[in-house]
Amino acid sequence: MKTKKWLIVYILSSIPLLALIAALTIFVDPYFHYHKPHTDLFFYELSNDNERYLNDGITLHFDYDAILTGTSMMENFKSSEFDAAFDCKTIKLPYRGGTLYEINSNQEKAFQNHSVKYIFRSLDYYMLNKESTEKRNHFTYPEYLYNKNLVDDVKYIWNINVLSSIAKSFVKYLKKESGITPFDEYGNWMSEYVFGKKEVLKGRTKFKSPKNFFEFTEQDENRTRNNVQKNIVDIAVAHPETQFYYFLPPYSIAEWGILYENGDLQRRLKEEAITVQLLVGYDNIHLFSFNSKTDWILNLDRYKDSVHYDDKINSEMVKLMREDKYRITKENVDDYLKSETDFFMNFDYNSIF
Amino acid sequence: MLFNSYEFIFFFLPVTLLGYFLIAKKSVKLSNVWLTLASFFFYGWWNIRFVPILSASILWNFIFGHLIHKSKNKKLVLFIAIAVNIALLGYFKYTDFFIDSINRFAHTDWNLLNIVLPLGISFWTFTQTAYLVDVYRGKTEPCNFLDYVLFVMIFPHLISGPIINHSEMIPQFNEKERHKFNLDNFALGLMFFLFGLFKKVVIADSLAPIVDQYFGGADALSVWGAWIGVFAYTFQLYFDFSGYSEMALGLGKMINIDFPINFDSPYKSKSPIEFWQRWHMTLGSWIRDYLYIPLGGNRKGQVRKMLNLFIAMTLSGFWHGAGLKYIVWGIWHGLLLVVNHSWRYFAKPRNIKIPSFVAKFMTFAAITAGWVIFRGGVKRGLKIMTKMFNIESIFTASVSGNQIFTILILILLSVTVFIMPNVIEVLNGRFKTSKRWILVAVLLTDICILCISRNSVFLYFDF
Repeated sequence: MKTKKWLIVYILSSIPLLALIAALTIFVDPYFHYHKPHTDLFFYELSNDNERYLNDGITLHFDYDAILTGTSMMENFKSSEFDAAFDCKTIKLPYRGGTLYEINSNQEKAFQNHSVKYIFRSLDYYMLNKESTEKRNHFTYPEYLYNKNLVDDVKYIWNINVLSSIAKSFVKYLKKESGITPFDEYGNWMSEYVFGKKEVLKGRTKFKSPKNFFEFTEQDENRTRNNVQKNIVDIAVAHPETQFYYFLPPYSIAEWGILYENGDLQRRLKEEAITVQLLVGYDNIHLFSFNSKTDWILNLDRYKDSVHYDDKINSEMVKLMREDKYRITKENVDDYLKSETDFFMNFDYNSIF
Repeated sequence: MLFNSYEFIFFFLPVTLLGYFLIAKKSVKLSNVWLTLASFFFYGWWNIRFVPILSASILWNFIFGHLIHKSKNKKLVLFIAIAVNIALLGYFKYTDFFIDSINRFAHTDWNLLNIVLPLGISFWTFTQTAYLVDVYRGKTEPCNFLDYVLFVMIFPHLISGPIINHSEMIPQFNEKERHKFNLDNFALGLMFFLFGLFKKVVIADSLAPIVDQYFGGADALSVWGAWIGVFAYTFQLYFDFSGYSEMALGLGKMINIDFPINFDSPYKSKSPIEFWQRWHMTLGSWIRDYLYIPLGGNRKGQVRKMLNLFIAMTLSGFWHGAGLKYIVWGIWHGLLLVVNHSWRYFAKPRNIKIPSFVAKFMTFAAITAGWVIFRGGVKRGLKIMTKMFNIESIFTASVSGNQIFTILILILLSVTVFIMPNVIEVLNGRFKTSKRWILVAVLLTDICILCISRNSVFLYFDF
């Protein structure tokens, strides 16, 4: 064949399959970038691996009046339990390993076109002392899903991972299965891990005395304040009509032991103190800490590592938050901080072995 | 900009080609200017801050090329010119390594400067250094400004090579015939580009998360995991780099410019010596011409030859990256070459030959061992290699379904890499504008376009 003809036929032949895939992606839209899911036709999987690909679409297109969000500390929550306890309709937006900035950015988006009655959110200690615009390293965020630019959507409509999701949906379509992963299951990792003291301690037999102490510098203090203000407080102030339920998750005593051994205990407690003091005193912020729930944190069989607890703890937290128990308020914040510091600074970590 | 991006394929490339050939109808010189400007755009797309640095480097080397040529004290002028090039490279690439090393040995706590590396600096430094040395040696006259800038900037080679030689390139820039759009060259160039793109975005980029996972979780690797991780990386590196080099070849062909070949089935090599004649071939030539020979080459006896080889390879290891693992890798290859040359010196007069299969196996094993260090670092690399020979766990360790699938893919890739003809051999030997090849081109195109944008794997352990 003559080269000119060859090239023309080649170009024209490359188009149909690509056009079909683009049309399919726009119609099925597994990441909800353009529209609500067609749950009457296809099954939409909400997978832990795709959180940063799914959450934006869920935020923009789903119907809800409450958001359940945070890091892996909330992935095992059941939306249905929040819905029952607070009489709301919750979407679940887990950001495992997520920074305060990431999670706050998503919430700001939610408020653009939804009226939100409740925000339920975990506040992770190790995310407090970070720059206020920090996101995760070594991860390429799909900005093309977060903006309104249609040109960069080429990365969505022609994407092997997206196509793979569509293929899975089609297999289910042929079996006449449709719907969407329930939020109760989205992000849930209970079945993936083994729980117990052995898993938590991983062969460790003692906690050594700390060799160095990490000083909590002025730079640390300013950074923490700025991060907490911009990414936890400001949004609550901007939306007095919304109730913000924030909780400090109950890390196991082993995690505090590790902090102790690394000389990081005081710094962590100071970061928490700053955070807590910034959050009390607002009518629409309900702050909880479950650190004093020693029947949880001392029971290593309820954890799969030093920080991640089982889903029954999640369910109990919902109940306790509904009943306003373990709440930190302006009235009790000083006592709370003092008793917490006393406990963790004086605890005999080697007694847990 | 990268070749494997939508903006390159759908915007930059068509616009650049169109402009180049349309302008060439009026003026060859102006079309070269267009190509140069396009290359600056290509370079500045990711970070425009690097453009002034590159421009300054080009200007410096152009001026010094002329100064060396005219000077009575050529050696001194050359020395100054190269020193500044090395200083620039050293500053951007090695400062933080230097600070970190001092911190480790002297127990100091200096802050790293976190200097951002200008894209391709290792390549365009080497390219220009070679030019200066050749002017000094009288191998070439300094060229005019436009030719020089285009020589350094021309976009197919700018970021990742091949390291081009001015004597091969510059004559091509002024040949009128090359400035006429040639359908056959374009079609062949397109096929090179598609094959290279497929090797990079489909094969290499599919292996990358597997490598990250296995090298990242080195502590918990089973014997199967260790072998999978090591083979996956050896192949990832090969398909990524050779793929990119073939894309460069293809892009060159589209504009009727012949770039040098960089890869020639290196894993089929029967010796380390042969490996360096087949892997990153333009780097091998550069090391020989501008490191090994100036050190004395083989002109000062056998012992000195071994030493020169060893030094040259160690330095080239350091060129690859600012880190101990790169130096160790370079030392490893230096040792391999020394052993290889020594063996030849001993075996040849005695007519001792190693069977071809054994030689290939030993070579591949030695090269792969180097790659494990190159990728994982010395400590982790050695750990992974130890786990590869954990014989007992062959019977106790379980293999998941995913792993079996991965092993099958790796076996398929092994056949491609050890036995089948490579892309260059296939295209130069067998490509013609037939229906069958339309099917190949369409499949490659559609699959590649789908694989350019992949979801990023979230590495949870890395916070």
